[in-house]
Amino acid sequence: MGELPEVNIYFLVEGVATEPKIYRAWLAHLLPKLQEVAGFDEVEADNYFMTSVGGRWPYVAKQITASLNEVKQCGKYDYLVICIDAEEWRVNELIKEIESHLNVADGQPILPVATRLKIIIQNRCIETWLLGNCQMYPAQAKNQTLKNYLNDYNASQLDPERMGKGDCTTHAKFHKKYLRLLFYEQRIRHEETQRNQVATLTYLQQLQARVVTKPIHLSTFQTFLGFCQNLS
Amino acid sequence: MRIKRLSYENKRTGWKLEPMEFGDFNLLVGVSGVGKSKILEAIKDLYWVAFHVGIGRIWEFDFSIDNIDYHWSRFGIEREELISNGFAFERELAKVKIDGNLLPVDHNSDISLLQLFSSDKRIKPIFDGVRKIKFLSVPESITSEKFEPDKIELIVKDYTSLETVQNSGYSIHTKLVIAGLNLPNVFQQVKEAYIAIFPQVQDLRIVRWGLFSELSNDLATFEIQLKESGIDTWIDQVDISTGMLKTLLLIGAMYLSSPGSVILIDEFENSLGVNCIDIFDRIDYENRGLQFIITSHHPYIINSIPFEYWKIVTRKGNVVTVRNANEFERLTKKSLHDNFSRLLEIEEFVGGIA
Repeated sequence: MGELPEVNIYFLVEGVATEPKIYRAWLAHLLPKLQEVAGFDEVEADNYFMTSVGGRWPYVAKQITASLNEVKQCGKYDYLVICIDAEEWRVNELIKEIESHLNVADGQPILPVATRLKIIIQNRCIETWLLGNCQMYPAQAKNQTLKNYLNDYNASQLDPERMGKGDCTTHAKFHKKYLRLLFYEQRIRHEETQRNQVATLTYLQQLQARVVTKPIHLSTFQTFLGFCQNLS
Repeated sequence: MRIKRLSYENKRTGWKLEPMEFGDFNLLVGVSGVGKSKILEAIKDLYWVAFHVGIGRIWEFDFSIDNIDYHWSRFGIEREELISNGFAFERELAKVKIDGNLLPVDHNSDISLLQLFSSDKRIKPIFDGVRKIKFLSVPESITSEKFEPDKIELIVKDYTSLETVQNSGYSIHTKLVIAGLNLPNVFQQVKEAYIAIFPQVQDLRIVRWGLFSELSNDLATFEIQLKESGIDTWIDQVDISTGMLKTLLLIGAMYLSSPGSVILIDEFENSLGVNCIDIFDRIDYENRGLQFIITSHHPYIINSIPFEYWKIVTRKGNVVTVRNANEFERLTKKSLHDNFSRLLEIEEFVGGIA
């Protein structure tokens, strides 16, 4: 089996606190050969550069353009990976939106020929993926609200990505609330502690186990896994 | 006065500022609650203690006046030092030493050395310098070095040159009034800078309300009026928006502050709208010997100020640390992203309070 070619990847991640931490931690296990660099123009071989942006689509359009320009200026990237929440968008529609934003310039593609675009949609948000970990769920919930949520839709048995918006105004709000309650059940209230728990190999492995037992669940998470798998 | 370095501790609350350095222009950035305003409060406190009583404060303050460096430190009422190249004033409780010589008389340890020896010719420049720290706010407070004149007519003839107005010690509002009356060229420059920011404004003028009489107790007041295009009547000062007034004061401060002034503005975006940030490019404040210390959360403001001027504020418990942007590796790298986005990538900024 031949050596896999060296790659350089530019990651643009939506979210400034949670997502960068999670992706950095998981990439260390999914693509261990990749070393992170601090400057976008410092990639050489088997490197990645990660930038995070605050806000959501379409407000991050300007940052996406800036990142695109960095990719072009550097000229050494094999992939531009954009990780972004679906929120209320349908996955396919959001991908189309972003692609068309990146393709506008008299119909000519803006992306350099050698760089491939990969859009990873977190459907509905990264917390939705995190709900896929069956180990997070208590045998018997003590909190009444959580009990009701589990009764209505138990995301350890059913696909979190297909879960509705419960008692919230948006899907993402509900999924985040659901996850928070699962943490509270374990008496973990501090967000930094929660982040430190999910940004681990253990958590990643628990999610991977979930998609092995239920392959039709967490399809956008599997897109991310598949992307990493193809490169390693 | 140019503030160079400051560390500060309030013994009563336990709040502590680790030593931080200042340049000519300083933009303090950091998440809400991290302590940016408290840093300005600490400087305000220094100003207060210079002239009043200060128990339980601990600080080390390095500054320069006319290129002479000074170090002033205070450890509550127990110890205080005021040192420069040619001299040292030291106090331990009530005992004072000047250049190593113990004075025979006890001195009040509640009052600062600056006050005790304010007429000493070595200390006087410091005393005068500290009074040049200005806090820009509407209404103005702690911005004038002496009492405002009751009757401007009585003093206006004494201030006919830019230098005398700048050094008058009066508030910026009073200085603007005097400039409006006596310095048409300078007032014209203020007007032009103002109209560049507020294009709807056509003109500014000073008006007097009330009758002047040396003998009567009635006070004549002087105020600013502005004229907007599309509105026939002049707008009285009381009807001018806070933002527009504050901007005028800021421009006034830039032209009329005495050289060596330190101007502090908390939450620049409060009242000073985004159109005001251009002021710093428009007016050559460095050559006027002005130092600015401002705080902001606003992305537009932060993006408008080059990050060489940023001071990134973080806090752990009660201890505040301030670092230059170039101390963060990430910010030293090339980037095509806007400054504010880059700031959001710094973990210490995002998770500013530990």
